[in-house]
Amino acid sequence: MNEKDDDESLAKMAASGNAAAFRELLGRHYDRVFRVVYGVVRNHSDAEDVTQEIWAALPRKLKQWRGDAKLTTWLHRIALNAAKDSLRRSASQARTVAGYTEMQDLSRGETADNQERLSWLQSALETLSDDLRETAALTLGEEMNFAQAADVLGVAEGTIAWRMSEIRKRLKALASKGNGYGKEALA
Amino acid sequence: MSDDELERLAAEMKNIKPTENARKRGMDAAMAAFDAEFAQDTAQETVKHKNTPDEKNSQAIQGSVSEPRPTGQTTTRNGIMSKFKNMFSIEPKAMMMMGSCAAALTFAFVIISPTDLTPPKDEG
Repeated sequence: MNEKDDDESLAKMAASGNAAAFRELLGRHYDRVFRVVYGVVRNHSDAEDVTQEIWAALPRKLKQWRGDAKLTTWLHRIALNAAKDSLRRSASQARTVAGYTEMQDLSRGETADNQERLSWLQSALETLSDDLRETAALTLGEEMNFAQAADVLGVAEGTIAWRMSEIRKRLKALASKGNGYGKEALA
Repeated sequence: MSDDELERLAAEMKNIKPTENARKRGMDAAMAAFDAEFAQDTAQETVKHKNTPDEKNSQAIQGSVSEPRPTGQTTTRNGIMSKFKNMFSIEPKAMMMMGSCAAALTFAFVIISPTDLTPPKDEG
């Protein structure tokens, strides 16, 4: 498989049964899908499960892929929808209460530094509403510009710009509370 | 307004990744799903290819309600009984004509014949 093959060509090959093409797509985009899902579900273990489900369902979905959008745009939409479905159908929201993440990280043997960073990320994401988290996952996590994020989320570019300014405000408030634990103050 | 916090969030979000075990497990599951999906297609394609019009093979179990029983040839009735039955098989149009004739004859014999066709009695 040629590394220079673009995603869309690989997707077409995979849709016609080329396993090597599908494996290449997996390697390229597995972590990307995970990051987007994590941005919404805010729980490492849940994000891993949802990502696995997404990729396991992808061979069937690929057959319906029409190729009229970039593959990554299509993947992001699938990831966001699956993450939101997961939140709705499970008790994930309850499981993301303060303290759960720390326990989970300790059990995974994270270093103290990583734990601190994960805790900060968790707190930061918790201060954002669902819409803002989705926007942050795409614009900050995936470095999409406003137009791309708007395309994936199906909203106007202006909405993305407004959401980014909201994210700034919330993070600023979080920082002003010191050490990243200002969630209660924002409520 | 400083964007330090925004940059930090961006950096942390980019840095987040699944554990190696989870990634491997997910990739294996995805490849298994891919193989299963396309193996199914290949199997269906093979069945489709085998089903030439002459053979009329059916994928449904024979005798199932969902599909008629596949038969390669139509059975011909060559026996005596079938010929005997054919003798009495009458088309609906012919049946109607025969019925009309029978009704007309009955009318003629029952209604008309007692008055007009009875010979005159001897009066002496």
